[in-house]
Amino acid sequence: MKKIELIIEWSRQHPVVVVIIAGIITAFFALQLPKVRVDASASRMMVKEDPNRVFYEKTIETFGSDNTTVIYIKDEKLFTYEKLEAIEDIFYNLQDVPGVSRVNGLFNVKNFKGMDGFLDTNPLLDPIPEEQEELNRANKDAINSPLMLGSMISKDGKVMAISVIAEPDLEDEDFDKKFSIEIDKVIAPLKSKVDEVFQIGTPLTRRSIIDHILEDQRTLIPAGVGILLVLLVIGLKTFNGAIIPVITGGVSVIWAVGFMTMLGIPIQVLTVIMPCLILVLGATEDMHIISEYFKGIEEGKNKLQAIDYMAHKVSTAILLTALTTFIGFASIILNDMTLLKEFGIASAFGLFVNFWITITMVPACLRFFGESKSPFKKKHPEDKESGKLFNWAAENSIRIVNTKKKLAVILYCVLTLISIYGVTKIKVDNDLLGYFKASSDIRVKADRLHEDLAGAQTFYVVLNAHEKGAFKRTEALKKVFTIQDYIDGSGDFDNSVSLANNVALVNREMNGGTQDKYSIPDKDELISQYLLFFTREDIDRYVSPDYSEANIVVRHNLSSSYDLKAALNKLTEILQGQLSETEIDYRYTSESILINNAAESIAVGQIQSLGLMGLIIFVIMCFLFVNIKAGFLSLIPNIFPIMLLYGVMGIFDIPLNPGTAMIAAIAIGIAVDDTIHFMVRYNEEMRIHNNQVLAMESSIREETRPVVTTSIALALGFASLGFSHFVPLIYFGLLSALVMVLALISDLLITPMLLVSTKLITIWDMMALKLRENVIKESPLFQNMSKWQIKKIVLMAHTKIFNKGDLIIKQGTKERTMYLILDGSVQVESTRADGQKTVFGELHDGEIFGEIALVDEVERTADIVALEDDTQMIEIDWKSLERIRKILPHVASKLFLNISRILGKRLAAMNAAKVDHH
Amino acid sequence: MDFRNIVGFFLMVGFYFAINASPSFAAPTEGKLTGRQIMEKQKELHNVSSEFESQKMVLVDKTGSKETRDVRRYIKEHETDVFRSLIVFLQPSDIEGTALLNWQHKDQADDQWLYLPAQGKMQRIAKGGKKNYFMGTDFTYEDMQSEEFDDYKYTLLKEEPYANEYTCYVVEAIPANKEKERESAYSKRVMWLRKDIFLTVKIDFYDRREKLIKTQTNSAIENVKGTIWRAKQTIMDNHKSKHKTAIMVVKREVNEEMPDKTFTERFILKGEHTQ
Repeated sequence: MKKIELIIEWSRQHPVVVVIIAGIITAFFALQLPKVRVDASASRMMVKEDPNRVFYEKTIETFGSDNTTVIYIKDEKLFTYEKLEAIEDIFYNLQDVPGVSRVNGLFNVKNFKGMDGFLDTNPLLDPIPEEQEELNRANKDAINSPLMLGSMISKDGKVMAISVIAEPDLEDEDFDKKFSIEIDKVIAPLKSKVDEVFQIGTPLTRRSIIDHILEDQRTLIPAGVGILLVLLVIGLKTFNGAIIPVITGGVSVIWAVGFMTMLGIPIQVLTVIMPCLILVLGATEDMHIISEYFKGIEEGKNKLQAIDYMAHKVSTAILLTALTTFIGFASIILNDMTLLKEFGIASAFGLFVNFWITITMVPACLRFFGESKSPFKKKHPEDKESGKLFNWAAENSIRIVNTKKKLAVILYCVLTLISIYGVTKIKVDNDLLGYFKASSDIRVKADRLHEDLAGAQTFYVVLNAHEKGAFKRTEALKKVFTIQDYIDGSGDFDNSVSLANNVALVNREMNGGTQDKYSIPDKDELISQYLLFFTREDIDRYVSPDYSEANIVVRHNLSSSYDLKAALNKLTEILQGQLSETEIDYRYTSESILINNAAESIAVGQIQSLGLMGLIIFVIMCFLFVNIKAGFLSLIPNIFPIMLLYGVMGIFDIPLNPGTAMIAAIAIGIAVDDTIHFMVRYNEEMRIHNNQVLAMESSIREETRPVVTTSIALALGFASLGFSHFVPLIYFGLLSALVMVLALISDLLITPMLLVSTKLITIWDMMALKLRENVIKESPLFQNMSKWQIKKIVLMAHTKIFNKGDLIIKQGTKERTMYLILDGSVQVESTRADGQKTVFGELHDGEIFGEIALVDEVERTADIVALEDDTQMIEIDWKSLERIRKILPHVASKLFLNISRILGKRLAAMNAAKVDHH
Repeated sequence: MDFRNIVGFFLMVGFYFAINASPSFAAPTEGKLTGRQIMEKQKELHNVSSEFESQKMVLVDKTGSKETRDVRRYIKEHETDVFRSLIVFLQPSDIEGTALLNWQHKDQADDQWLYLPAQGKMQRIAKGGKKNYFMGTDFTYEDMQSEEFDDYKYTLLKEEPYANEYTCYVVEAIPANKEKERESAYSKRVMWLRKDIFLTVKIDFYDRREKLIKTQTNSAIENVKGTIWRAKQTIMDNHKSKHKTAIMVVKREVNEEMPDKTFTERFILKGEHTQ
């Protein structure tokens, strides 16, 4: 911590060097910026090492890509020659789009149809019939075909769909966007010819995500910077001061984005907010620091002195707060989902460098253009107003802490219970389409498609019989057919296609076309013979070349992984029932299934990162306050807002998704900063006031302003994400803002209550003791005591610092405390009623005084006054001793023995002095 | 698939590959032949009154998986330029006895019956689309049809060496009328015909967007009888679906005696076609 101070001071001495080094590094990272990539691939919403991905890739190899774009075409007079001719043109043009592996529609899919004793296998609209009567019949035929209804034609025959299946070019990361743009170009001529035409599907979704990311960048970053500047100018009341956080934030962002690009991390739905977050978080830190600088100026110091004053005051606090915030973001790396992992890496790096940039650039900048007058001295009318507000908050907080403790505890418990109830209601969700607002173009289109036809979402049910030719046999195909019967009728899914319903359709049409023949024939040979009707291409999506594996392609509209999971659970029961006595095993796969699987990882990742955060904060606080209790204490006010957050999410049905999953860890990392500030302040106040209530009140008064300002700044910063186009980010922003406010309330009420009711010793106390180890060891107070025993007693005590002339003990008061001088000296004196002062003597390092108070409740017999500045001592009170006596009677008895010995010696000395005097 | 196609397919095999064995025939004295003349010459040389073949048909999909079928085919000229044909599947055993019977007519669409032994009856097949693929192969009905020369415009593009052995005529065929244009899956075909024996050895098929989608190659060419030459191996390579069909002729007889009853329902229903 001393080192941080040294770095700040060094930077202030060598501002030019700092600026040059920072400039070089910035230039280095800036060179990476042109390589920044925007990415919307679904694989980022998956778990990288998910074994299901291997299966998915293998399945795609066997059964073809599930990258489907549906062209929705609606017209009141769809089945007229003129319209169909225009659509046919588009149908063939679609096949020429680079990356297209297949286009399916009424123009090329076989239409099995038995009529007047003849079997017809020609595609419905190839060639397009010229007579309207024939066209009407074709329309009816399409609706009548179980393979076409829902996937290619709507029930009313007015909507047609063309499915475009793409084999994405894996080398081209922008494939989906380019592909979707090409599709738009191809279908554009149709716009003037039919009532409605649009594309919907994976490529469009990704393209929209990319476009929205770019838009977000254009709106969020200016919004972030704007909020920042307003807050800084209000908070610091100076433009020069306010520009510094913008500089350090900007530099940090360049480094972080450059680093991200070097690692190959693209701008994706989550990393897009990283610049905005770093700007806001960095600025609140800078605000703390720069405020201290101005305090120094206020105290009449010059620029350089003020910077050193600032360094001395804040180095510990900013190291700690930067550390906890950093850990909060870094804990997100624990998530398995690539999206979150990348965000964790990028933002943790950004915060890490922001710290170093801050402690070097802020002093350098202050040196260059820091103002040498404090802007706080100017009495702005609004300053008074805001001052009033802070006072009001502080006084109310004090009042509640002092008088409404019980109420607060009850409220805390009630809210906690409600939250626990809410937590049980939380859903985990991972939803690509759910990234968009319900009013967004893409959601509207998806709903439109789903109204008339099967949804654009797809998954595969892969059945493996582990035996060649199995799915040519009636037994296995009947199972598939029954499973499909469930899928099509369940209401969860829209429709399904497999080898089974292709075969059933042939069977129907070979046997007079009646619905009762829409079934799997009983003879294996007949199935084989029916299969001669198909080319490999007709069925390669439904069955493997050796007929050992079959695939049911299910179309649905469940983009939410939560809904999909519920539907799949029901389907699983059916599958288990159907396949229980067979060798056939089943597996679901598709991009949406992999995304669905990743949802589980969100919950696990959430617990991991929260657990880690909690543990680290606990350890840090235990270390700082050399006390396990302090660890718990610091957690309570910070867990509370998180509990409420989960409660709110559960009760208001806000799912845990990649956006909301980040809130808890980040928020706790940020919120704990205020707790640290508060506890450190309290500790300082305790040394001054030596009274927990007074120290608490004073801490609240001192800390309200910075804690409230930074919390509101952070809340507004987070809330600005409400302008995002992505639903998870909007939730992330608004809920994080809520957590900031809750944490603020928690820090102003719960933290003080806890501090007042407990006793803490800090690392600073410990360090002081360490420095004075010899003094302690050699003190008669601890004679014949082991190191451990001494430590126990010292930990029950407080360290106190007095300046020259400070009155440590006042004659005539009744306080049951005694002191051990660690460093410095005191004078024992007594003042008579007439003002005459008698000096009895001086006490030095290692000596104790006030010990009589521990033996009996008596009035102080003399004044004790500090003789030097920075006189340090530890104070041991009766209550603490009582506690030791109860827990460690052996230690207490030794201490009392030592005290009696000292008393005895003093008595003897006093007697000797009396004798001498006489 | 279209069961009508199979007949046309085997007709085509006949028309394209049967050729006059006499090299002198192929060297007309009156200057260069036109594309149309080359095609007519080919047909003229090929006419057979009957043909029997035993084949192995191998279907290879894009993953390299193979499916092998044993097929028998019978063709007989019923009256001048009007043929009847029967195709019978013998292997694999689950499709054994599956048969397709085709009767060509002079001025109307063919009659076609499909026999699926597991179903035990003859199923009539409706008039087929020419673009349909047949029985999972890469041949469409159109590919296998005996074409009416008036429907196409034939242009001799050039003569060029082929496979370092022969000189070939390179003839381009494009639909000559709107009707054909609509019916055909191809905007054009480019054919390589051996100059010495007027035998088609390669065809490139271009789809309606003028993209090369398939290539057919004929190899292992042998003289069967008199002026008639045949390819023992034909491969159709579908570039679009990455699927291939290879046909190997195991046994072939041309212009042998063939009873008319072979081309009847009764013959099939009695199971004689698999004997």
